[in-house]
Amino acid sequence: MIALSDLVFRWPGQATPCLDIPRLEIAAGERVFLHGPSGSGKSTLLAILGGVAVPERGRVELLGQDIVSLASHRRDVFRADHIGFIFQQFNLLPWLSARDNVLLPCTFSARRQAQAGDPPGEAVRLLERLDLAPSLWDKSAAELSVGQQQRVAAVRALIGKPEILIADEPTSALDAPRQQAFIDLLLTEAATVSATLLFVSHDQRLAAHFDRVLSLADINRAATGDES
Amino acid sequence: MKAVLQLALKSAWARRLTLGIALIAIALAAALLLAVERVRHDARQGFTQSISGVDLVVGARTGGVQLMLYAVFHSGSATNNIRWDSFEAIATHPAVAWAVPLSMGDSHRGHPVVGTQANFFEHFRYANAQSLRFASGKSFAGVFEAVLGSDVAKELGYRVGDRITLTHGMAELGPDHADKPFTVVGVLAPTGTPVDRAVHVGLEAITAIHLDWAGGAPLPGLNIPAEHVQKFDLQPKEITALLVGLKNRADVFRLQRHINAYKGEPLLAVLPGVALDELWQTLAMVERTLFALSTLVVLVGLAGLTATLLASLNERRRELAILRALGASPQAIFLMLTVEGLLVTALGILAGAVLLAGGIAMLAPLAQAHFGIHLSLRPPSWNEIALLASILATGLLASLVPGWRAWRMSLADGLTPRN
Repeated sequence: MIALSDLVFRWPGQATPCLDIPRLEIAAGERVFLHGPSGSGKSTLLAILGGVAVPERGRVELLGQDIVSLASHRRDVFRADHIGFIFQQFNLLPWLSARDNVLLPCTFSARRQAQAGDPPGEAVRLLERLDLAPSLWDKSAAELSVGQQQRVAAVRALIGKPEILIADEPTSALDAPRQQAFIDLLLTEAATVSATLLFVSHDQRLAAHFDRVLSLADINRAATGDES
Repeated sequence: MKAVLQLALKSAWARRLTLGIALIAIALAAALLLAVERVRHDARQGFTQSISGVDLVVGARTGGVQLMLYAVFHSGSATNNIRWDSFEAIATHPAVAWAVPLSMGDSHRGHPVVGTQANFFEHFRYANAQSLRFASGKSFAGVFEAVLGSDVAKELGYRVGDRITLTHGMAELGPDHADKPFTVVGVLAPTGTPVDRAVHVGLEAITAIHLDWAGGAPLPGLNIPAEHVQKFDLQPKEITALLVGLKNRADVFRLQRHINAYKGEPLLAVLPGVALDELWQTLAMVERTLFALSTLVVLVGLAGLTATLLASLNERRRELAILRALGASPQAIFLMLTVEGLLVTALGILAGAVLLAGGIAMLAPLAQAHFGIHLSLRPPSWNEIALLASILATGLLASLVPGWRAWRMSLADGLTPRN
């Protein structure tokens, strides 16, 4: 499902690479916790997986397709079609309603629109499933609490059944009791749509319940811990 | 791409306050530029159309521009008059087809009074050789009869049969010729020229109302009633200027030289077209300066737009990263910012055009009354459309800057803005 080999990446102007990953493989449907301290290159790795950053060397195979060899606009389409992202915070466009935020992937990707079947109906189904009250659906995203925003972001990542879910510190803005609840929710939903889940965090306490726990330092030969 | 453009609209609407202010600045600047262009065009139109079919304008020796100003535009006053025998000498010159005397100096409620002869209505031409037409009534025949320009009648509500009193000098509150009222016998159709603002009376009337005057004031103890003026010789001794038509236009320079070298008194003859050009040249400086200033104002407005968009980029960094994560390409991000700027410019231009139309509707009567400039409410001319298009093109350039910056930003940021 996800296969990296001989990946080397450095930001423009940097002398040494910040990522040098000889091999990383994640199977379809696998739910992986990737651990690494802040600044260890986690976000860079996610940008490469999303096709937003391009490595200077190596293969990045997603669903059997080497995305490095794709033209940049094909990578953008690939990302829209196959990957759902959830970020740390401020996932939503503040001037759109929760419902419209959820529907965004279906406007960017014909594939996800098709897979959602009836996108508005699917949006409602998922919003209900993630326990968001109907009174919140048409509120603008800026009016929602942080916890509500993160759940709307999860719904948006899930709509249209993308094969890959990438979550970048999605719980760091939540308080402790809600963190585990959110992770459990994500694990369940990923399993329901049989998506591959890559969950990235610096907080190792959250690693329970995942199929596999990886440390970026173990797979990244360039790791020194203090790079940006 | 369509999705991104729709989002661009929604995003812009969410920031409508700041964008609205940029829009207002552009609207005001565009309206100003258009107004300068419109006034320039209409003033020039009014100028060049104010007189035609007249081969020479003759007055006492002075500047050609000044002569045109007082003889045709009723603005300013003559330093010297022309003797009646000079007029007769010119009028009877073999090359001359017709000559119309003009005598200025009096007014009626701020409107200039022109003493002339009935042949004025026959020979005067404006625009493309159009002659004067009576909207009602007819030319003056008796001494105390007046023909009004269309604006005079409209503004003061006069109709044929009304009685009016003339005032000595151009001041609105000057001494009146109240003892000798005039009857309105005709009202001219509108021409868009200074004729509209003038009251026309016979030359004899000018003499008659000044019979018992000397040095600009009534002679004390002397009062000649209106019914007795016929006993006096009403032949004027002096006039202010005259309009000359030639039998053969080829004679114009010969006659001009002849008049300029006239032995009886120092005279000046000018070709109206040449003098109008000269007059326009002196105004063109002002016009060009105004145009340059309003162009600068437009540039300032567009610079404000660029600044607004650039300032908004920092707070929208997160928004752009989200759009990238959803599959928007850097090109789409570039387009989003550029379209936003272009949209604000286009709406600003539109608002500016509406503002101008409103302004003209409100101010046109004032411009007509005070400056004699006839501002017309009409769809934009090709010239104005070209101006608006160049504002739009400059707006596009101004919007490319934030677009380009957003592009760079989204490439550098990837999915997580680094602040």
